[in-house]
Amino acid sequence: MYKLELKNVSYLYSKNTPFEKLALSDVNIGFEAGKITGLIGHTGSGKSTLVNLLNGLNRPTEGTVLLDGKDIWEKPKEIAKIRTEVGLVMQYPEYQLFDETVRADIGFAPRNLGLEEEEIERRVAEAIAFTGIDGALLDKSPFELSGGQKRRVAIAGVMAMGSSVLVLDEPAAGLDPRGRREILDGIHAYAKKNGLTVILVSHSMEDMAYYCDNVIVMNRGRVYMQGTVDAVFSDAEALMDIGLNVPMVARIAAALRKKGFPLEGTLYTVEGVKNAILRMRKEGKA
Amino acid sequence: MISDITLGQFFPGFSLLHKLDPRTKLIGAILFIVAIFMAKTPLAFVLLTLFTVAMILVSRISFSVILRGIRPVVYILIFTSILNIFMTKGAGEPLVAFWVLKIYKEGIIRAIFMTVRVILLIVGSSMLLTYTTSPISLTDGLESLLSPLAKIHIPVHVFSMMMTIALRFIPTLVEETDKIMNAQKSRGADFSSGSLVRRAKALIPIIVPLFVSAFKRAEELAVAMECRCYRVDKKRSKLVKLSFGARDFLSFAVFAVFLAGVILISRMSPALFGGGALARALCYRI
Amino acid sequence: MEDKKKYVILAEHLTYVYEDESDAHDVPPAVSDVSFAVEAGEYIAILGHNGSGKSTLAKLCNMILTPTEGRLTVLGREVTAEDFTEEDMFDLRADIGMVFQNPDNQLVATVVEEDVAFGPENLGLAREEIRRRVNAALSAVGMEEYAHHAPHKLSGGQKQRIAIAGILAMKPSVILFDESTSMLDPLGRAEVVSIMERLNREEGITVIHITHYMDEAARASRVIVMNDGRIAFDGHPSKVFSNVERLHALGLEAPQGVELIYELKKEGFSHEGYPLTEAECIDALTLMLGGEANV
Repeated sequence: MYKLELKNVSYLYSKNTPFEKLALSDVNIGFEAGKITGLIGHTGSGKSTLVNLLNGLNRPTEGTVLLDGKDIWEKPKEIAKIRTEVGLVMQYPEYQLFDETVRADIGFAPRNLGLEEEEIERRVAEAIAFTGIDGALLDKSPFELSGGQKRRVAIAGVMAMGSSVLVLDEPAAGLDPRGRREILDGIHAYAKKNGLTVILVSHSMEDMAYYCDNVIVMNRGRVYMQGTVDAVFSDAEALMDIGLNVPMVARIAAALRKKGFPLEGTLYTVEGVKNAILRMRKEGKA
Repeated sequence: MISDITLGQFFPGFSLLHKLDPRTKLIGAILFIVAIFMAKTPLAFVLLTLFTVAMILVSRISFSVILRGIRPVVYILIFTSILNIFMTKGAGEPLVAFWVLKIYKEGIIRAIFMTVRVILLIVGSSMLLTYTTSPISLTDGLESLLSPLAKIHIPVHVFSMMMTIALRFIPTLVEETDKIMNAQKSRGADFSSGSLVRRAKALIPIIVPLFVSAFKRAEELAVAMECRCYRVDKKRSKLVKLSFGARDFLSFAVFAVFLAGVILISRMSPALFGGGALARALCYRI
Repeated sequence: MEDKKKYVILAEHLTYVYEDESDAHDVPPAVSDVSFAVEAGEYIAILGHNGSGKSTLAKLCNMILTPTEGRLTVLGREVTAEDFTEEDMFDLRADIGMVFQNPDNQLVATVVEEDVAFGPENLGLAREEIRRRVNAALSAVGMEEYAHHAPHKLSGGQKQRIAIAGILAMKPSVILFDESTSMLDPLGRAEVVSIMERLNREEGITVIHITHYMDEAARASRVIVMNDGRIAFDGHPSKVFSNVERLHALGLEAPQGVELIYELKKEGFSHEGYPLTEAECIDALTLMLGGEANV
């Protein structure tokens, strides 16, 4: 059974108006428990619509969204509960900061859940550890922080909710390479430690290749490809057909294979291609 | 979704009303409003109504759109009509007397006229202004009409720039409100239950980020404007020049004649039409 | 003195310290003793992690900030001179445009062509001239058909192209792009970068592009790497990116092809220098591996 599943989901924007637009059409996706699944696609491919369906911000026009096998819209009045079970970090989440201190802001979600102060404190501590926020910042105003720090606080604020599914829409957008690495590493470590199911939306193929187990490619409101990172990235041509880029190193590896170099294995990260070349050298020498 | 709301309800088109200079329409609207208040007899109102219908026909905007525009004020109209009917004291015997409530002929007449007046006011002015004039040309028209005030050191162009920027950013901020609400809902915020105080408190997580972001936008925009050489104290030239054409002068004439006609008709005595019952009714002065 | 005239930007020992209003403790300078010169027609990328001072540097060049110390000459005019007035500053600004990060926060008007006209209107140009410039600028960024659209309905990449058109309409000789691609999706980024390159190549406009995308920086003719308010590297991209280890230490990366060749060199493969483009990398690797296969 999938942790989170979409069955025959379609979504229409502005239904029954002249602006009606089909954003998703007959989408079937399963997100495996404990895995990190990447979601790729152009702007307008239906990615963002999909994200809003996963935690019940929008209701599918047709089809069902299942969490642990149960339709999340079975009791529409309890949809708020679903939103705490499926945490959502929106694009540029620093917009959501509002409280007087970093501590209070991260504690906003657990407080809404009605948790004990002690438990809130524990969750705040855990969230800042994984997002790399200096404990000294806890009593500062979130508005005094730098852009990168704000981003971390916002992500920590969703982590502290303790959801079993975490959906992140471009969590590293606009950050420099180091900030990018640190934030994604933190999310990765947090997810693996707590057995979270993570859905990571990103335009960066490099990040997808590095952090994800599975990948789903969306195109024009439909699922274009889905499978393991290996399976999806090994079909670079299919990705390029819809104008998506594969990591530079994957294109280099593909070109080398075409020239007759017998490269095998993971061919879409620098590490993977390096190892493939080293293996080839070893076998060639042997 | 709130972002579907369009401000001012401008319906782009190429009718004569659309093509008129915004200043013509602004002055026309003023003349029209004056006419409404100068109209004292049913005959004058017949003329006003005919004129309004003529404008609608010229604009080629459908009647259903116009009815929808009136819908928001229907309750207010009903309420004030009831007040008028019951509160107006007439000269003769009441038509209906029930307990302390007495309805006089004058009350009913007054209610009808008041309703017609408000409807004509809304339809007429939105026909001339919001429906057929884009917000930007309305701003330009206002700036141009008020420009003599600049001579007495009232910064007319600054107000007009403020209005343009407001119009530019309203959709952006509406979208942003939507986004922030979704983000806080995703952190378990509840906007729809609890006491009034609780609900008001629940708005803080929306209002604070919205203000923070609006100020940040304002600051960045100010820098960007200065980098594009904007200076408050310097005279600017304009890409679009407002210019009166033959149709504008003709329209002025029509409006002026119309206003004169309404005033004249309001002063006509029933004797002019033979003094019969119909004539007396048409020339009944309210 | 004549020498200085040939530079579009000449920075000599520039230092800038942000004033900290909250508490009095010492704030490290955002830009510290930086010197460099930009010649007309150059295409420069400025790299550096967040807080390295690269944006501050751009704001100094565009006179949004005034240097705390040092001397800055822009287009032959000394900005830091005593007699440099606000009037002079606005004169210069028409010549040195800046495109910002957030496309939404730099568009002023509710109609695309009126936004593009904003700069020329501020310069007080004649109506016919504004019209000509607006049309030319919109066609330079490929947005003519959107002239009457509302900016808020466009995509991020399209908004940024309108912002560029708004700058072009002032006919600048230098354009600074302050992380102008960082909020865009890959398609929008590609559009903006290709416009930048065309402006540099065909119109001879000096382009200074602040970014943290290594692949974008690799396309420039010169890369400046900032770290802690100082210039860490300044040179041709193939030279700068060959310092892979140093770049990592500065929180940056090299393009993937360079990273791969660097890793392989550590494992005993040999190759001279570092190629930047994909095709060059493939050729280099073929050579490296071909040598191996022959053993």
